[in-house]
Amino acid sequence: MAHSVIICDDSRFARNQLARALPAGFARDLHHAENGREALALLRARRGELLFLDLNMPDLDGYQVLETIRREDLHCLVIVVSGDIQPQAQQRIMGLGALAFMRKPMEASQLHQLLLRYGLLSELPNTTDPHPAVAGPQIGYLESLQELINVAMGQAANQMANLLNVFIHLPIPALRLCSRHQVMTEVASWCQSESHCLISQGFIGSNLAGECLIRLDRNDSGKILRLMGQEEAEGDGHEVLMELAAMLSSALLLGLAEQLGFRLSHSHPTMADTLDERHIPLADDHAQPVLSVNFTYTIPSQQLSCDLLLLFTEASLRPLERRLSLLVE
Amino acid sequence: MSQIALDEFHWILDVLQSIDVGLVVVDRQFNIQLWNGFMENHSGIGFSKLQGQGLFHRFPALPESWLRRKVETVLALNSPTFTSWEQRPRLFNFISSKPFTGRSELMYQNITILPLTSRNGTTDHACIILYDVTDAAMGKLGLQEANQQLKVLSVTDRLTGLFNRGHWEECLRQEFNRCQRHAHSSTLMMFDIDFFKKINDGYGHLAGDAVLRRVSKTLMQVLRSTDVAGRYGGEEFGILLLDVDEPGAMYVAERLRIAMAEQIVEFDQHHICFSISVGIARLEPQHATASDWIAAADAALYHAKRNGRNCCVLASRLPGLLSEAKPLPAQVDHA
Repeated sequence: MAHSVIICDDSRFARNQLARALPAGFARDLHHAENGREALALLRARRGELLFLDLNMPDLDGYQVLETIRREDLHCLVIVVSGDIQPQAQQRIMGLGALAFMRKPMEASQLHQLLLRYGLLSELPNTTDPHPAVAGPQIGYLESLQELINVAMGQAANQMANLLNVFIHLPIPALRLCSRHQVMTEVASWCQSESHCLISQGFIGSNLAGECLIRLDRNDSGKILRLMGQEEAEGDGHEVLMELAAMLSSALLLGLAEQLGFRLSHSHPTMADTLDERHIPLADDHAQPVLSVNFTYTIPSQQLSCDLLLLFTEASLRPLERRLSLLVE
Repeated sequence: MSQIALDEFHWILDVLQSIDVGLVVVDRQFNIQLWNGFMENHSGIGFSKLQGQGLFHRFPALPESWLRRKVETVLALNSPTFTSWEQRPRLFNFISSKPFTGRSELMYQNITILPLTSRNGTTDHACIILYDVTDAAMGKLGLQEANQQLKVLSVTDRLTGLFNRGHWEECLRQEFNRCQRHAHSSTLMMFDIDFFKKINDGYGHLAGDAVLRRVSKTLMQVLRSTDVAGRYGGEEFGILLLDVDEPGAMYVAERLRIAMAEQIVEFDQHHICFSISVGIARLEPQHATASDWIAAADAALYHAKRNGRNCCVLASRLPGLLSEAKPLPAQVDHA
């Protein structure tokens, strides 16, 4: 029983991973869509019966696709595959008519079980069968890393969602290679604001090193305490900000390390808000780039937000690239 | 081993592995017997690749003779030893655990070396414990630096970089006392910028500031390192010339006056020229206090002004009381 399948995800790494995990011969036709708009166009052209759908995408996200499918009564089964593992996200997508939810990072055996359960597969495939590799252009390591960070970000958000009992809107992280000068200029500008505090946690191991920086609004400490069901803070309320930041950065780093198969030491988180222009290294055009990953979690219901900056040192890029190229194979 | 003991052993190993402190165990031959997760992650080398190998062979950058001596003492005396980052910043050249926001590129470490006694009672292993104290070290170094800056700020005039009035007067008092004790003499020079108000009024206060800065720069070039220069007031400066007599001071003053008159300050497309008037007073027995000394130099300066400015006047050459000086023609307002 072969099906026509659409895989909709903004990450090529994730699309290829899923395509590889499908049982041999499962897909009669296999279409890739980079965003919700492309997926809907394929569905309207009756090009797919089964849609694997990511949630966080630019240009129509997964929720909007589900709403449109329902509104236009498009015929297809939807399996959501997402790094956003918050219970509320799952409730929302099931409410919008999705058949099932699969968490990222996805494993082939889980996918096969799921397909079997919904009668899309008559028997479990022999997983020792080498699956033909998906031909296609090489995926850059930053693209692969982006997907890994998506997943780690989803895991960290889930922890925060549980701690605060809220739904967190997941952003799309921005990865860029840039100079230390640029990065530190940005960090110093983060420290300018009196009302914000910056918390830093260093990490090192498996030849990677860097820092996770988290910026929170000091004025939000009361709000966060109430969400955690605690009494008003003693002192300046910084403890709760530190607790939240440490939880987020640890979860993010653990999630990333786990996917990479790396072990990392985490340093003690500290307030890092005394940085100023003096700590910005001079601009040097010949300097090796560092890697910065930037995103903002928002909690729409509480008007809370939290900025994250994950930085990798110059020397980390080669080991990261080597590791990711092994993961893609 | 019982199940409970095994569980406990497992937890303890887990703690040793993940604690945010470096642990290294070596035997008497300095072969590595334990290398915990902290050491693995910071060195980038796993224990499996180091087990049983010579510490100095694998880490040639270590201060071998120092560490040998320390460990041998620990084993011989069966007592621990401690080294602080203040004596030795680090044992292993690890990068800082905050490679971006940290103030230091390398980690500061406190080191403890403990003797380990085996089951048969002999002390034949040493445990090197490595604490990451970069934050504390940076805090302390930062504080020292800030104190040093405060000290500089508290004695310095912001605009000119010369001593401020308070500190300069203190130096003058000390010199006054020193001269009293040792019966020798120094000379004091007070000068101010002629028609400084006109510069401020004509070109603005920023132009005035530029002139003040140029005066201080020229001053630094002309003076010797033993001379003590300070900004006494708005455009008035005081210089203490140690162990210099009047002719010597006159020579310095003239050089200074000429150097100032040659300056051209470019400001906002203007070329500003200026001159100075100088009063010079040697410390005399009749000066009962440092203030008397200043008053004498000030009187000479006043006389230099009345003499037509851009000149140097010695207090000892003043014609007696100031009232005897030839008065300048009074400006009469015929309004």
